[in-house]
Amino acid sequence: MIKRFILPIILLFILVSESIFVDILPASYIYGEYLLVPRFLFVTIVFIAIYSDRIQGMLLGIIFGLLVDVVYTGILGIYMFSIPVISYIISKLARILQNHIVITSVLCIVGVVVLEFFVYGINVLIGFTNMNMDTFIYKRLISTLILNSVYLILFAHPLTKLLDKLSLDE
Amino acid sequence: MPQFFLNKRLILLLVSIIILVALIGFSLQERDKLTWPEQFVQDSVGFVQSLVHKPAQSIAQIFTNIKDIQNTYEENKLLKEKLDGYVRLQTEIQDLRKENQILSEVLDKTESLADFDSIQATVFSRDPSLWYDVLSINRGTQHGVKENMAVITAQGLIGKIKNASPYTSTVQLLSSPDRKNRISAYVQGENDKYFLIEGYDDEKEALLLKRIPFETEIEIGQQVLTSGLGGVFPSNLLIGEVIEVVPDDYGLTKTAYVKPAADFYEIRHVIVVERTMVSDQDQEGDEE
Repeated sequence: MIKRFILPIILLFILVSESIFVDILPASYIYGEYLLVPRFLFVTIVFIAIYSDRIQGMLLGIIFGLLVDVVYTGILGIYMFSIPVISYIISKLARILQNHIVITSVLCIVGVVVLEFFVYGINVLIGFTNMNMDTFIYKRLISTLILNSVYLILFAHPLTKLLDKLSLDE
Repeated sequence: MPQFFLNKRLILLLVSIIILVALIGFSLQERDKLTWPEQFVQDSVGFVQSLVHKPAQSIAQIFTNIKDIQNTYEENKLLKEKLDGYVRLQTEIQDLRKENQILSEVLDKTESLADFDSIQATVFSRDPSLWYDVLSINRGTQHGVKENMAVITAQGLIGKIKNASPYTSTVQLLSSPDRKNRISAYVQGENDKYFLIEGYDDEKEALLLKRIPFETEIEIGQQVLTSGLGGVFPSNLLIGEVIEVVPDDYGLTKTAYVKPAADFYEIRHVIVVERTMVSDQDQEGDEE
């Protein structure tokens, strides 16, 4: 019974830690030449969708996407839609390709690219940013991919271990 | 059979796109209040955040402290030099303040646009996607915070309250690219000149003071302060100083770039400011 709540609690912790990551690190790292955007929550949800259960991953994606929308952005729907849809696509792709940890990590990074482009597109559409495509790619996308790759390198292995253990116990 | 499943997924996707558009439309409309589920979620996640934030902050503080100590000697020297000037300034201010009070009493004028009550607050989170320039602070309607109030740091104006929940509220920074983000401001000089601040330039990291008549002279280095004429903000809060004046696209008016006095990135503690003098516009107040 308690096992069921482990994943949501971990995700809640990651959700909170994203904003603390942005808040605590010195501003010159986060807002300097390049913007570093943590997408840890999204990456973790994609991993759940791949290694544990796709439906569970998508449900968690909807719930935590909505939380991100309400708490951080104030514009409902963007993450609530994009996180489950992208994690669905990525988990499908992972099923077709090999289920090796390096390949799934690369797929996760592809997912982050899609997510960034989707959010950027919506923001341009509703007029919340006037950043042009070049600046977006150079200033934001590449540095974000590097940051999230580092996260994956550090946490992909423990995460798969944990998910395996959880699904074995059930 | 696979055809059927494909269709079901397609329908599901279409339905969720419709929901997405509806939700975005709903949240973009001009609403003064958040719905209660939103307020509830914001408050409860805010509670968890403030629990985790404190220890994380204090660990980060240690590193900043070490860095600070390295520069202490240089800073101390500089500050001592400045201190002498401050004493003189202080006495001057005291004189002026007294004079101002006497003159106000003579005029029988007790209210001023510059008077305000302040609410101290601590920042506990920032939008991690870095798109919207929104902060969360640990004070809400229970402490007297309302929508559209001005938010300042010790250095100057940083933004306004976007939404207020009972125990937390969100602050929209001046740098956020929102059409509704307008402030009535004036340029300090021999004659004060009143304009609107509209928008923010990401590359220059400066606010835009738009629609200045071409013959008006604005000098680089002049201070820009809130005018209080918008109805909600008190007057005389420092916004920043002019760094550049350029003619606008058609050459009919000028645009001044205003470098904000406050740092928009390293924000730890803020002061929410409530104007004591009420105005009729307090109920509307979407343009201050």
